[in-house]
Amino acid sequence: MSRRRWAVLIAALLLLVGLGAGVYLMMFRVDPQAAAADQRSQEQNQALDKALGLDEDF
Amino acid sequence: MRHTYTLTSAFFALMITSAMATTFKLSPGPINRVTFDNDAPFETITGFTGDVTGSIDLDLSKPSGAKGEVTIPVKSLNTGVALRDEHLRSDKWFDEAAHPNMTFKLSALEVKGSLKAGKPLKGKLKGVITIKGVSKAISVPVKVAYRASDEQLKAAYIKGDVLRLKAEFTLNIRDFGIIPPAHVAGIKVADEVTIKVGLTALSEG
Repeated sequence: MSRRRWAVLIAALLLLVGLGAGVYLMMFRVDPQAAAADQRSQEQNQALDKALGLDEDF
Repeated sequence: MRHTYTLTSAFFALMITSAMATTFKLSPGPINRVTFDNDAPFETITGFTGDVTGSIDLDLSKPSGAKGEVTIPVKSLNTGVALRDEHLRSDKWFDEAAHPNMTFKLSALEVKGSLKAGKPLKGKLKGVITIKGVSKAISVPVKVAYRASDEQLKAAYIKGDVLRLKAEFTLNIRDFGIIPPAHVAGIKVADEVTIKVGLTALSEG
């Protein structure tokens, strides 16, 4: 196979791999709103534990 | 006559005892937090929910007699990845269509002494957990605390006296008829799930 054809083949393969990775990442990316809600929930619960003395070992 | 007197006394004793129990209500919101962690080979899958409803009837002077019920909708489980959440709701996992809620019926709170503000207690939480239509009795370590309503709580938009329970335990999902598929969207999961519970129930008035 000529060099040019190899280059085209490799470029096509790289494009396919890149597209596949992109689709996979989009499907499994963490929703930023969900992450923010999780963070708020953690903070509120830590504050409640502190307010009720549950943040320390007893 | 003596029989009537005994029955009447017992009736009033029951009324007084019932009157001393306070109902603490659970409502959806960030003051409640139930998380689950499952070990997969390349990551730990973590999810949470704050969508908790229910109530706990408890006498602060005798908390061991506590009774209650907690409900969590399956659709509220949030792993942060929409596709994964969809899998969790499918019939291969929690089967939300047939079993929309997970429940816990509290039958006993084994602690020593009475619940007082500023003095949390350790003990055992006992009850029946129902997931995907399968019920299992559980007994797990718990920490419980109480705080009467005050200006600091009101400033944080928390109205009423606070009853807070914290527990951590593991469940085997196979015990509830959930057979993990070979993978969840490419990731294999473990049978054991670690559950962490932080519930904040409020009394009215």
